[in-house]
Amino acid sequence: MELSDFDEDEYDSLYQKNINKSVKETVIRTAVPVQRDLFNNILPGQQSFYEEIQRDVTFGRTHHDFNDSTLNDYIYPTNFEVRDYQFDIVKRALFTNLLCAIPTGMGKTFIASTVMLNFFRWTKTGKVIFMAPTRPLVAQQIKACLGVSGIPSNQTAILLDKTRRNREDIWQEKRVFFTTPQVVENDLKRGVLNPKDIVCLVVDEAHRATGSYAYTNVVQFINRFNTSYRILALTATPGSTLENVQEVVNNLTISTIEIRTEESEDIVKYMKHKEREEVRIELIPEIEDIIEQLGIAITPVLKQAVELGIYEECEPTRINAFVAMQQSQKIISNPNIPEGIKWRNFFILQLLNHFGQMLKRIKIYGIRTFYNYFKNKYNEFTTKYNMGKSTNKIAASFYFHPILKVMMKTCDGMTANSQFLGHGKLERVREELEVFFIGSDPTSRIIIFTELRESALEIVRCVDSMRNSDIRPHIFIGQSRGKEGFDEVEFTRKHKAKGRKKVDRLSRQAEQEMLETKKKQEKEKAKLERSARRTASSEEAQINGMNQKQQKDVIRRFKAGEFNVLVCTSIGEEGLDIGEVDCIICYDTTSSPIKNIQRMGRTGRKRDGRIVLLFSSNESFKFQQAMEDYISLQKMISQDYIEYKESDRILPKDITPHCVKKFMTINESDETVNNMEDTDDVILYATQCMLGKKVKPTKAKKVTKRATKAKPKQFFMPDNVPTGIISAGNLVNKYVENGSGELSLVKKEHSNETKAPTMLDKIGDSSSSSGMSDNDEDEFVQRKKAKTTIKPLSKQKSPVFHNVHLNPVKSEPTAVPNLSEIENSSLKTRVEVLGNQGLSNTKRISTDQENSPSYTKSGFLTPDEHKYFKEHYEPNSALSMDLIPNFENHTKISKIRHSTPNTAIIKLFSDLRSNNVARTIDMNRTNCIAKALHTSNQSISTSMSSDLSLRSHTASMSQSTQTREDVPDLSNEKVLDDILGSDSDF
Amino acid sequence: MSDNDETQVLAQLKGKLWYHLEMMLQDIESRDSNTAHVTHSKKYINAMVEVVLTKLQDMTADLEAFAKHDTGRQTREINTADLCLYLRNSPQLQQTITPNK
Repeated sequence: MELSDFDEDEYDSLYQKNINKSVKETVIRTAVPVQRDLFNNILPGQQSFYEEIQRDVTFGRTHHDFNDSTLNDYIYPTNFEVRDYQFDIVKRALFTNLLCAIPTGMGKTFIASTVMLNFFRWTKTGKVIFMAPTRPLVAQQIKACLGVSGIPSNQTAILLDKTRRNREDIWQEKRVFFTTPQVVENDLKRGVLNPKDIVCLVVDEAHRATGSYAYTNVVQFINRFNTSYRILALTATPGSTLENVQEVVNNLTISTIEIRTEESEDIVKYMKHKEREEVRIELIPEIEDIIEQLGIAITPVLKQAVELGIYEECEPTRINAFVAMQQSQKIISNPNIPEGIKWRNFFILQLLNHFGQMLKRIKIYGIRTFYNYFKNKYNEFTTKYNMGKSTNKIAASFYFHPILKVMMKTCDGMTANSQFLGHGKLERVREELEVFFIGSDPTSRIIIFTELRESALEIVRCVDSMRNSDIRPHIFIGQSRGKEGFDEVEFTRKHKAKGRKKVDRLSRQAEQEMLETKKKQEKEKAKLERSARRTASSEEAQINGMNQKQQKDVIRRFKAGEFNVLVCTSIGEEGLDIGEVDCIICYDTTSSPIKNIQRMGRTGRKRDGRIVLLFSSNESFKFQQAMEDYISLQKMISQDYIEYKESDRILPKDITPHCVKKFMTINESDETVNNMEDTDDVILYATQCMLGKKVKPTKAKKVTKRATKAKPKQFFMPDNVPTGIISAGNLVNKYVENGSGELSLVKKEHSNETKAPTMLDKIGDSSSSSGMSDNDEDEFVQRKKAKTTIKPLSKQKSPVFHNVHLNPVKSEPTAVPNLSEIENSSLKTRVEVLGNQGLSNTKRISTDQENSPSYTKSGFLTPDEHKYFKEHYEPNSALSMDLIPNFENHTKISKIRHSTPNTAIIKLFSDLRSNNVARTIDMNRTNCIAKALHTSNQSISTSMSSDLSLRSHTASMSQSTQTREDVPDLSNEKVLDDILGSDSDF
Repeated sequence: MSDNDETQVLAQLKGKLWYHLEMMLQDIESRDSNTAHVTHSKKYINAMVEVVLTKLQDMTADLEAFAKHDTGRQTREINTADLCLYLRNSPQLQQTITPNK
C-alpha cells in the first residue's frame, strides 16, 4: 500500500504554512452505476463513485498587532462631499477582500485611501502597500492619498525603480508604500520585504491581474506566508468576459465584487453628464471608386482561394484580414499538407490578408493611410519580383493588374493635394473642432483616439491645415520606433549580382558610403523641412516614437494649454486624469469594451463631457456588439455567476467598528503635493518628504549604503517548517519484531510538543465526565479493569510495547476490552498491528474520532501506558473521510414532516454530524456491551439473565435475540453460521 | 416493568446488535479482496446499528399488530404466519423462513 498518495493540496495543509487559515475538506462519495458484463462482473477501468469536495475555510486569529484604542471606530474623511456609494464600498472593503468596479472618474482613489488610512490606524506595525502599473498612476495616487486622507507623510514611501539603494531600510522604517507591482515582486523574492508584515494591499487597474502579470505573482507569493491581509482591487472594467473576471477574482483572492455602472442608481446623481453622439459617416465617392478597382484586381485571386477551399466565398470588398490570417496559420500548423501546396495556399492567404488590411485602412482611416500601406507593399513586391527574388505569380497577377495602375495614378493625384482629405471622418473632425472651440472655455481640451500611428499623424496634419490658431494639435504615442517602410534602393543593391574581384568589392564599398551619406543628407533635409512646418514635433514623433520624457513633456504642455487637441493611440486610454478634457472623439472603434470604456472615461471627470464616435463601414455594429456584451457581463457579475474566495476579516470577531466622519486636516507639506501637477515633481517631492527632508551629503550616504549591504540576506519561511538537517534514518519507519513473531510499526515521536494530548488529561480525571449512570455498566467496567491490569503485565517484555502484546492474540480474551477502552477514549493508537489474526483481531484502528467525552476510568492504564500515550498521542493527525449524509442540506426535504422511523434516522445523522454528547455516550456504551458479549465468558451470565428478563417482558422481540443468545462462546464458524442465519431477520 | 429496566434492555439489545453487525462487517472485510483495505469506523457501525434497530422496531410493531388482529388464535404469540404475512411482498424471504414447504 502506498504511504504517500497525498496530492499537493494536502501537502500544503500538512505544512501548516497557512498561518491563520484552515481549510476543512469534506469528500462526499456517491456511488454511480457501473457497466457490468453478462456475469455481473464490473468491467475494468471504471470509476464506481463520484466525488464531491466541499471546502470550508475558516480563519483563526490574525498575527497583526492592533492599536486597541482605535479598533472601535473607523475614520471616513469628509474633505469631499460624502457619496453614498463610496461610503458603502468603504464599509465593505474594510472587512472583506473586495473588487471595486466603478466607472472612471468616480473616486476609486478616495476609496483606496480611506481603506489604507484605517488599516494604518488599526495596526501598530502592519504595512500598507499601494500598487499601480505605471509611474504616472502611482504619482496620481500619492497626490490623492497625501492630499485627502492625512496619512502622515513621514510614514509613507515611494518605491520606484530608481530608489533601489536603500530599499531595505525603507521597507523597515516606513508603513505606507506607493509602488509598482514589479518592485514589490522583486523585493519579496529578494527577501527584503517580509510578506507577513503586509496588512493591506491595494491593487489599481486590477483587470490586469491575469496570466503571470506581477500582480498575480505578488498575491500568490504573499498567500504562501500570510493569509491575514486585506486586498482592495480597483478597476473601471473588471474584464471583457466572465472567464476574465473569474481569473482576476481567483488571482487576487477576492470575496466580493462591488460593481456600479453608469446607470446604477446611487451613482447617477454624482455622474457628470456625458453626451454621447454616434456619427455614421458614409464613404466618399473617391473611396468607393478605389474599393471597386481593388475588388476587380483581387477577384481572380479570391476565386482561386475559394476553389481551393481555403477561404469562404464572399464579395471581394468584404475580405477580412483577420480571417485570412487565421486560415493561413491553420494551414501552416497542419503537417498533413504537402509542402508545395501548403506554401502556395499560404501565399494566397497572405495576399488576402494584405488586401484585407488595405480595405480596413481605406474604409476606416482614409485614402492617405491606405495609400501609404499600399505603396509600401507594392514597392516591396515589385522590386522583389523584378529582381527574380520572388516568383509569386498569384501576387503578381494582383499587383500588376492594369486597373491598379489607373488607381495609383488617381491616388497620386489626390495625395499630392495637401488640402485633400482622405476620409469623411476627417471632414467631420474638423467640423467638430471648429464648433467646439467657438466660444468655448479657453481651458477646454479635446482628445482624439485612433489605433494607428499613421492615422494619428494624418489627423494632426489635417487639423493643423485648418490654419486656426485656436486649435493646436499634437500627437501622443508610445515609445517604440515606427516601422520603416520597404527601402527599394537598399534592397536592390544588396541583392544585386556581386563581382568577385577586389575592384568590385572596393567599388561596392565606395558606393555604399556614398549612398549612406546621401541618405543622411536626405534625412537632415527632411528633418529641416519638417521643423519648418507647424506639425514638426508630431511628425518627428511618429517616426521615432516618444520616450517617457517626451510623453511627459507633451502631457505637461497639453495641461498648460500649449496644445489643446491631443491625438492618442492606445497609450492614452488608461489613467490619464485631466479634468479639463471636455470632448473625446473616437476616430475608430475597437471591439474591446474595456478599451472603449477607458477611452470614454477620459472625459466627464471634473465637468460634463461630450463623446463623439465616428463610425464608418461596420464599426457601428462592432461598437454596439462590444457594449452589449459588456452590459450583459456586468449583469452576470451582479447575479453571482462568479465563484468567490473566502477572506479573513482580520479584525477580531467581537469588534464592529463604527464610522466616524471627520474632516482631515492636512499638513502644509502634503498640501503642496496636492497642488503639484507634474508626476516627476510629485515623486521627487514625496521622496524628499519621506527621507525627512534631510538630504544627506553623498559621503554619508555611501557609508550607510555599505553598512546596509553588510546585512545578511533574509529568507522568509512559512511557519512550522522544520529547518536544519534531518538524517535519513529519521525519515523512515521502524519495525520491531515482538514476541509472537509479528512486525509492529514504531512511530517516531514528533517534536511538535505544542500539540499536547488534551484527551489524556481527561484520563487522569475521575469518572465524572463519563456521564454513565448505569450501575450495571459500572460494575461491568470494574471487572474488566481488574483483569486487564493483571494479565497483560505478566506477558509484557518492555513497557513501551505494551499495546502490541495486548492486541493480536485471539486466545486472550481479556486483552480486548482494554483495547476497546483505548478506542473509547478516542485515542489514536500509535502502535499499529500489521498481522491479521482473524475475526477477533482489532483491525480497526480508530481513525477519525474527535474529542468525544471519554468513557475511560482513571485506573485503566498502568503508569507506563499512561506515560507512553502522553508522549505519543496526537489528536489531529488522523485523516478521515466524512460519509455522514446531511439531510438538512436539501431545503425541500427538510421542510417535510417525516414518519417516526425516518425522523429517527434523520436525527441520528444530524447528531452524528454535530457530535451530540448523548449520542456518543450511547455509542460507546453499546460498543462496550458488544465487546463484552464477544469476549468475557463470565459476563455472559449477566447479559443472559438480562436477556431472559427481556424475553419475558417483550415476547415479540425474542425472535431475533433467541437465535443469538448463545453466540459469545462459539467458534468462528459458528459465528458465521449465526450471522448467516440472522440474515433472515432483516 | 420500570423505565430503568427498559433502557437497560434496550442497551443490551443494541449491544448485541452491534456485536453481530461488527462480526458481519469483519467477515465481509476478510472475505472480499476488493474491500480489504476498508475498515469501518465506530461511528459507522453505530449509525448502522441505529438504522437497523429502527427498522426492527418498526417491524416488530407490525408483527405484534398482526398477532393481535388474528382473533381466531389461542395464544397471543407471534408465529411464523405473522412473519409470512409481513414478508408477503418478498417471496424469496418467505421461502427462507419456511424451508420445509
